[in-house]
Amino acid sequence: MRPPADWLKTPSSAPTYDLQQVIAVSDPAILDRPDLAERIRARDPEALQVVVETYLPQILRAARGAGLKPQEAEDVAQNTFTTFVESAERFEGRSHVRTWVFGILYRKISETRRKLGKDRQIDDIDEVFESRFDENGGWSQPPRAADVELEAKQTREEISDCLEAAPSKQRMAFVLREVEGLSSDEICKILEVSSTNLGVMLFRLRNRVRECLETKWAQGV
Amino acid sequence: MRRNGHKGSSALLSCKEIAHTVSTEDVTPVGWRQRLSVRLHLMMCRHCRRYSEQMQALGDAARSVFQQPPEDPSSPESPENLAKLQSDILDRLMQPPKHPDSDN
Repeated sequence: MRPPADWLKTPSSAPTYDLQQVIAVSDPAILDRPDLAERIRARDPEALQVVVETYLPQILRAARGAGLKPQEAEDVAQNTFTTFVESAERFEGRSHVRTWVFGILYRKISETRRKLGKDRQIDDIDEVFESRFDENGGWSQPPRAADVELEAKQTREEISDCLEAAPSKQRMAFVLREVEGLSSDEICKILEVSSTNLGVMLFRLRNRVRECLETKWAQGV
Repeated sequence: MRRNGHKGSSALLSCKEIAHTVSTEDVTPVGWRQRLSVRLHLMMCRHCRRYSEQMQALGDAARSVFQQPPEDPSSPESPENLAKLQSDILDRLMQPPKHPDSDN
């Protein structure tokens, strides 16, 4: 059996469980074959199994990163695959399967979060960011100086909490970039935004989360 | 001199411009002049250096938290639940569609 393509591997730093020990993995090369869309439409068991095996762990991880609870994440994963198969009519292999799957996932996640009323209406982070500088662009309120190790530990403990305030689209952009390590181009396709937009979204999310963490660091959580 | 957008030449960037650049540089590529300028600025300015370390720490924390399954046994990411969810999803997908016209 040939080794999985590079993009299928989780980054080596990830202490994640080995899926191959859990379920026998079929040949992931199916994902790159031109007849994939056709096989999905025909509900070919082998093709479906490869798609689900490959993307389910990533989908669940992204859903958790986007702030869904375990049960919500399971439902979203189910619905994502159902829509993936039903929409295979329109999938011509133009976009990569992963882009297609994550695009569906993003829409399901934002529906869920909207329903739960988790998306904040106002985002004033631009003003907050501005307020930290003087008129010459120098720091008027510099970032907090602290023990870097301790801060890193607190950051791991508090990051989920601080992410909660961010809109789903920004969160998703952050998770796809930092956790899944996708390229800027692919994230733009998944979220249907321009690269300028993506820059603005990540700028806002990172500064929002940094501000939130700084408050927590100061409290010495 | 070639200018980088409206932000002016890369000669001297303010702390605000540095903060803006380091929080988006992974998705908004900058030219070599600006990259050099940012690096020089970071060497000289401890506040911007802190800011830049914090931005880095954010990504590191996200990776370490989200790349491993949570300890919660009810998580769908635990190996047993993952295997079960996977076979449930496959069972459902292999059944003929009930509403062939519906898209969602």
